[in-house]
Amino acid sequence: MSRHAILAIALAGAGVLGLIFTLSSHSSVREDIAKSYRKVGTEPPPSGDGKGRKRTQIYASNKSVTKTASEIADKHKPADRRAAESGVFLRYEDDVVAVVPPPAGSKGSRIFVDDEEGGYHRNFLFVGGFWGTYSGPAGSFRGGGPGTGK
Amino acid sequence: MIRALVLTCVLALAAAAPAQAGIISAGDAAELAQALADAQDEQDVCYGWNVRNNFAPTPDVGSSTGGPGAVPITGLPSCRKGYVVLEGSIDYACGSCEADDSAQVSIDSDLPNPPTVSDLADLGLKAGDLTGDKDDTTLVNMVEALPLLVADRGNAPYVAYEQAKAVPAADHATNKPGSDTLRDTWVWLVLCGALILGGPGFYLYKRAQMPTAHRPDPPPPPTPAT
Repeated sequence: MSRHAILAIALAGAGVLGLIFTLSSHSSVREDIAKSYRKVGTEPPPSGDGKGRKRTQIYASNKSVTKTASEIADKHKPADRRAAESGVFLRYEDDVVAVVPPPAGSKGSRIFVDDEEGGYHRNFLFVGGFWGTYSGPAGSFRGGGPGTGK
Repeated sequence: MIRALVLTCVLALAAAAPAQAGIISAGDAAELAQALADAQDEQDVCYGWNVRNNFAPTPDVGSSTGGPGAVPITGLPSCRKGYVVLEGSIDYACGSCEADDSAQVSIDSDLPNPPTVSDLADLGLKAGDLTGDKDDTTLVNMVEALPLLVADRGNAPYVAYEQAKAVPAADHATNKPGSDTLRDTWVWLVLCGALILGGPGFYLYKRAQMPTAHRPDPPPPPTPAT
């Protein structure tokens, strides 16, 4: 076998191995949050239990709201994000992550991990109209979702 | 109480007024001012925004004390702990110019430990996005994040998070995002794909460069049966 053929096989092999490693080592944002933060509870999704629905997972972080949110967003780039006066909301393919202030008297931040529908309902006051339909007071479409332009 | 009534009147007038000339619609500006007014009530910090542009006669302006269109506050007695104002400018280059669109933001505040533009960048909010397709969303996010950053830096308590109690049945999420895996790993996937295709490509390229004499002899053509 020629030197060029060996090099070609080595290049393609490295690509295949890299592809397998990249896809097998990638974890979801839900899994990473479960590994990195302290779980403090679960509850039924805000818009009701149903087939295929995931329970809301609640975690606590020792870090501030913005530090925790940027830590999560740095590891898993969200498709869309919303910063508001009382929290940061990150939107993923199937999950919505809300990083909000801790209960009164505590430090750090709280993290709610919902499925898409649950996250939209829980955080409707902040993401309503930005990530979906909104029939609130202004009645206007506020901004665009992922993949939409003006 | 009087301030709340005045602000309610201002917001009602703003909602009835024609669309504002900046990048935020009149309705969104009214909601933004209301959110800031609520934050001011909890934090005793006044908030505002003032973003100039070169495409409309009036800038995007508003505040927690005067509603949308009101000149931002600086040192009013009602702002007991202080004030924070997002200032900025958006310059769209002309169609035939070589220069690119540009935008800058800064934060004016008299708080002891005020939020910075770098804090906004940590939240993924960059001035350059004010010239993009989602300029209005970016500006709303930047302004609405100010109370959060003020609390994060210890100037005031956090504005309490309130979960939505009742959501209209018709309202739901739209525009489902694409694959998280592709978003997180696309650079590596492209690199690996290039290696997989590049290997055979390299071999074929080198083979084509080989002199004809070094190539293996082609098989002889089949001899026709006699």
